[in-house]
Amino acid sequence: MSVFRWDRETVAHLGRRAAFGARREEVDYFYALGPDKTLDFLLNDEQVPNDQMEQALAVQPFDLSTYQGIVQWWLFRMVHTWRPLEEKMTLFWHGHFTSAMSKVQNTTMMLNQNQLLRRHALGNFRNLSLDIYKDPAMLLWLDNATNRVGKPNENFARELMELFTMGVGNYTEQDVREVARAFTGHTIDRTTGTYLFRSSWHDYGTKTVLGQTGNWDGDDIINLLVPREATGRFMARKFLKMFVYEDPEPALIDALARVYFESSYSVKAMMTWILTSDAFYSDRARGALVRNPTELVVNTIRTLEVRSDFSPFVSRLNSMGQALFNPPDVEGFDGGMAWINTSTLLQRVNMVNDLAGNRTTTGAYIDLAALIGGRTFQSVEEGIDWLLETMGIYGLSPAKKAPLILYVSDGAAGLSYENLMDRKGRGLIHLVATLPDYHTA
Amino acid sequence: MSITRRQFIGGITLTAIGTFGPGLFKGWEPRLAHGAAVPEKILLVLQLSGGNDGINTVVPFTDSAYAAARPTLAIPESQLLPLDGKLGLHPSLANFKTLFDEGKLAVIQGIGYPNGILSHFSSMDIWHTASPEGVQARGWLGRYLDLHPPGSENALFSVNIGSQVPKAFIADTVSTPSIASVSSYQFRTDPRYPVDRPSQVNTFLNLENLSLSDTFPRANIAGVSVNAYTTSEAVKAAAGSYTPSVTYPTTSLAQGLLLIAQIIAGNLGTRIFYVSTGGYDTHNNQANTHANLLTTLSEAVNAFQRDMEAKGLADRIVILTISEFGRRVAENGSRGLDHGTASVQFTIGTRVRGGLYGAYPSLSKLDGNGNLVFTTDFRSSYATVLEGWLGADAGAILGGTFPNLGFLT
Repeated sequence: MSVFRWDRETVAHLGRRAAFGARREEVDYFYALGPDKTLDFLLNDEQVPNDQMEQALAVQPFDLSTYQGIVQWWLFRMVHTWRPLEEKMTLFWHGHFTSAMSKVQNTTMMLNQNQLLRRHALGNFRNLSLDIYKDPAMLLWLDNATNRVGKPNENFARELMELFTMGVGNYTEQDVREVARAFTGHTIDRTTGTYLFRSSWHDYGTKTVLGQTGNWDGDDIINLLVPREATGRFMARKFLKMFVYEDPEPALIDALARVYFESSYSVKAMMTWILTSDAFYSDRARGALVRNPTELVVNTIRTLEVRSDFSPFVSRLNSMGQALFNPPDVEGFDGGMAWINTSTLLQRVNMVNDLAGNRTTTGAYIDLAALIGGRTFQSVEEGIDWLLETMGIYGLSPAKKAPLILYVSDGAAGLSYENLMDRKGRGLIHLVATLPDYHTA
Repeated sequence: MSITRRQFIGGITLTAIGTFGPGLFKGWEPRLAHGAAVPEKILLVLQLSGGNDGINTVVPFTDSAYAAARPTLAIPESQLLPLDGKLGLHPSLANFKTLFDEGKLAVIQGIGYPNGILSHFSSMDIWHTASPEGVQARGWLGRYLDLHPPGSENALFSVNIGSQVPKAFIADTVSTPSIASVSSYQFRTDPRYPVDRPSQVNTFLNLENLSLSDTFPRANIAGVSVNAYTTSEAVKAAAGSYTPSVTYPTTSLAQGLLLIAQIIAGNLGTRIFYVSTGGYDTHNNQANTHANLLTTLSEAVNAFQRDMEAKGLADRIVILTISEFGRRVAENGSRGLDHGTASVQFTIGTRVRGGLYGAYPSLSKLDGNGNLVFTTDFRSSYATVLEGWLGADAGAILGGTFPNLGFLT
């Protein structure tokens, strides 16, 4: 690891991409720790104990029979986990192997699927694919629960090839029909809500998929699709779009696809390659992604030490366009600039304004005094620098700092230090959140 | 109502003005320069979520199968508001009866699509994407927006009233804002210090203007930020200066329509509105629930229609209702109705050619699930408004030719 500079801005960059935004103390800590140990911490997270978080989560009063409860549960994890990349990958898989409450209508199934995605977060793509097709939420979401011999339902078969593995253009309609036949009988037990293979529903005839003929069942199809050249490239491109930049060069896709095949579909191998690649640390990559609403919310909660039971963020995520456990359709959440329109942007910025302006201890609020922690600032500039880095923004240009400095002095004459902090300090938190830099990663 | 670029920039004090990217206000500014003068046609899609029972909305009272299939839910002929010798409106739709008599309301009968799907989610998807084959990721209005009709650079060209953009608006190149209320669509500042607001707003605009010369995506976000602020101020001003000519009911549907009236009267350049109202999934004890829903609907629409007429704006507006499906012909064991297929659709406006369109499906020749067999493809009504109202290429948007139903003058 010698290709990039290791500085605090780089640590913050890594924190935005491989985690949900690093807090100032974390940036300092990992900067001192150095790149090798930092990446080891992120990537080999099975060695990082997470029991404290699990124990704390277990005693939270979240009602897991409600939609709100399971969103609170996941937000708690994202904020407090010691394995941030695990949660980041779980979010990635939630957008890949989608299922949504809107159709599944069962919080237990959604939560179980979420745990399944977490178990495989940095695991093996083949194993994940083998498990996900038997997942009850998925079976309901893409109607495989009703896919039976003689009465095939092609929904899962089509999406498996179009969205989960190879991508459109790599299979025929005949393949869709044949794959649907292979998955017949994989359904759920309606009384227990668990996976059930109903052999009387299964089509035991021969099927021809992508030119290969046999008495294929579900596992056989996964084992046929995962090693396809198209799947490697499809997944490589998707990883690069999530973690590097939106329009990765073909050479980059090829290189990551090679890792996919050489590692026998190891997610950890792919992420290791990404997080040690020149591309990841390049100027082109820095700040090149739009923060999704979950990243924005979790970063805000973590860096500004927001106190709440997470419930206020459930509807906020929805109005920002990312209702967790409820993606709009099987393609998952659209990324990039699709997150940003006039109303979602107002929701994003107003969230921070409302947090900063809440001086009570109810709802979601920032304890400003605790956040500042007794620091005194020698100058307005020093205070602004501190706040910017606290909120995860490093190296803001002097030109952009100028309006912030001007803001603090505008109308501040005669204010006591306390009043100045209460008015301009809280105002600055809001204004920093209006910077496009706060909405990019 | 008009904002000029000059007024807008007037608040900015630093040297940031020199850094405006080329074409920043492309859309918003030309819109204001030219748009307000041209009274453009407006489409308002009103969604009845849950699957409206078309049979009890427009009742085929001469079909003997009607009373037989609905022992407790059939509405006696004496209570219906007759449209002709065979069909009568639900008694809660007195306002719709008046609009029908005035020639401003058209009923499209038997609306649906082949092999009707009984899942809310999947069937709504089909209505939104206008793709019963499920091959379209974009919405039908989104595909219209992707053709960049004149004026569509305006950030408020299409507006959803609510909190989540319906799939109908999903486009490749344009994103549609959702406005839940005037108060939520605001650039808020600390309520404790109103005196500090101008200072915060100026600082914010300065920061965004400085960011316009950044690289992707910061510059793009900054552009949307400026648009968000400008449009939110415009919506607030339009709402604040508006005096309705009628009293709108307090229902959220009526209040949503009032917000639409405010935006239309404010000349903000919006041509497509979308508003939803729910609760139509009447699986049990339908009678009262459905009566209340239709009262809410007809009172809200009537208030809006009369208000727009009084303001001289009615000629610009056509309302089209949609629902994901109708309901089963026969009632279930809970005095309710399970999911069905074909339903009725309303279209309302002074430029609507009132009357009955399409054919009412038979209540005795049903499909295998006991549901109506549709007679009118919903894409025909989409084609009618796309072509006949918005002047768009319906064939290109819908991916096929569908007959113009002729309900627009």
